[in-house]
Amino acid sequence: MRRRWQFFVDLFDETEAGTSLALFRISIGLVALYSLLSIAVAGLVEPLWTSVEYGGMRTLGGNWLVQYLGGPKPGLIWTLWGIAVTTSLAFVLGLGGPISGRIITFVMLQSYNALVTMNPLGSGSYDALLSNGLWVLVFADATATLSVHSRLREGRWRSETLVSAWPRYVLIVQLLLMYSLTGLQKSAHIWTPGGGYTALYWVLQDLGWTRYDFSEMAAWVTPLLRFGTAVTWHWEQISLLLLFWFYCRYTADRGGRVRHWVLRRDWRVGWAFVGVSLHIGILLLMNVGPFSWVSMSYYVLLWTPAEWLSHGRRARKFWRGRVARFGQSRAKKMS
Amino acid sequence: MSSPAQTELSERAVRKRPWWPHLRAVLVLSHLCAIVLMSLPSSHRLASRAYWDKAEQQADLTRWANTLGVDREEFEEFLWEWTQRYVRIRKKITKPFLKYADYTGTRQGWTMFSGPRRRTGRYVVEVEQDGVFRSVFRTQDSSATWNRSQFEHNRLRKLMAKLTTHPQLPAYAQFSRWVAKRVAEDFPEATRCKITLDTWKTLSPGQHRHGVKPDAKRTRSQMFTLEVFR
Repeated sequence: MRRRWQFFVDLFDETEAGTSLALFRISIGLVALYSLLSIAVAGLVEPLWTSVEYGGMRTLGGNWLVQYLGGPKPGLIWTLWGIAVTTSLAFVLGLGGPISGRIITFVMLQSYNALVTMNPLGSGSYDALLSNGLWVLVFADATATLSVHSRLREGRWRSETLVSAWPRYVLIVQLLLMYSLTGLQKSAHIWTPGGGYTALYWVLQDLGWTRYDFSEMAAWVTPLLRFGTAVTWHWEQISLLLLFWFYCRYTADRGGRVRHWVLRRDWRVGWAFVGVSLHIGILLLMNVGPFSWVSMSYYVLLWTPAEWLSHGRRARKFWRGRVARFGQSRAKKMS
Repeated sequence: MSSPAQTELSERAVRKRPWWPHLRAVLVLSHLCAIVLMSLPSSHRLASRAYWDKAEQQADLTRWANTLGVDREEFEEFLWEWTQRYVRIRKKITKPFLKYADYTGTRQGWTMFSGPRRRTGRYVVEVEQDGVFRSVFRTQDSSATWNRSQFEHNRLRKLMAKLTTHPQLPAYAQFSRWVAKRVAEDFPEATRCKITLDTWKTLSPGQHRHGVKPDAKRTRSQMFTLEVFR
């Protein structure tokens, strides 16, 4: 028992560079900005988030914060919206150090959450995934690198400052939990082999969610949709297994045949490839808001900062080689 | 794994506050515990007899019973009983975390397309001018696109999709009234506006291939005199 407890104490004591967390910060910050600005551009801030007596489309109550501040009136809603937009921008830019950066994140979370929980009929899973990410970042040093803070403190955008790694671990669990639990709740017969894996066909029949009316076209591509259903259903359900790969990697020095077998392949690459493919499909076919963008923002956390730096170096080397070869071939042609 | 420099830093911190790594582990594990428990399926529909008795759910139960080769009635009884036990246990174990989720925005609940609907619908907004009605908006119709930027925003689409299957909700009437107000602003010459919801059972691939057209039924229709909104 003592040894197991020590395992968690040591795990949460790990530190690393802040690159992965910073990339995640920038990515979900941009999604939050899009979410807030798009609703204002569409002229829906007051209709969706104020109560019917103030021009809104429904009778609303609001969460604890809205109720405490006097209820969903236009003045309060626009103030919360303004605070959410300003703090989101500061969050993306990485303003504020370990303390002020966290305060900015906390204020952004509370204002965003107060708005999106106002009207549950107009809120999506992406709001929940976004606010879950923000809450963990309140405890993380997410502005340590790739931030204005780093630029002001060290004179450069990138910093080697070490930050706690546990927020990244917690966010990975959150992402995989979301996928597995949504997969396990897809219990309708049509998601399963017994139902012929036809769920995606029926999803595309619903005009409420599709980007365009695909209902007739879907009837001609049913084998493809069945394949998509099968991949989605199984992939979502087994997503949590990726944690086992992380465990094996973390304890790689313990050896053992199972661990060796598991670590022969990088499970993250295959998992992320399927995930990104599914999200591209969702983006093309459906209008469910920025759900795919929030989900994919979490993907950057699957790789350590050291791996991101190594990927970056390899990508730079690859492009330099390409550009050089292009230059040489052009020079040859000219001569 | 940490580098030697990291380990040294961490050891220094631990010497200063030896209790901190343990407290942090408790807090992080508590958060993980909260999100895992709260992510367990929680829909109120699980405990709703009325929802279970809906034709679509009953048909799904029949399909499951056939696939598993068990008696249909016994299967439903068994499932109902275990689901109610599960709902009770879930309610108890998540109770301590509800306030936490409320205050921190860490609510879970990942029911996404768990049971795709077999009915869909189309909203139609018609405006009366000089005694003649004309359609100004029809869902997914490029020939009637009034107010499309609002109706096609993902948040409003979610609301409209929900109301398509639940037109009896009070929110439906409030939504229609809001649309009527918008019509009154954008069409100053119009006298009345009609907002209707047509729904139909979605077609199978075979029906589509044979050219069958959906049998749309007028689920709800409301007429508004626009004068009162001006």
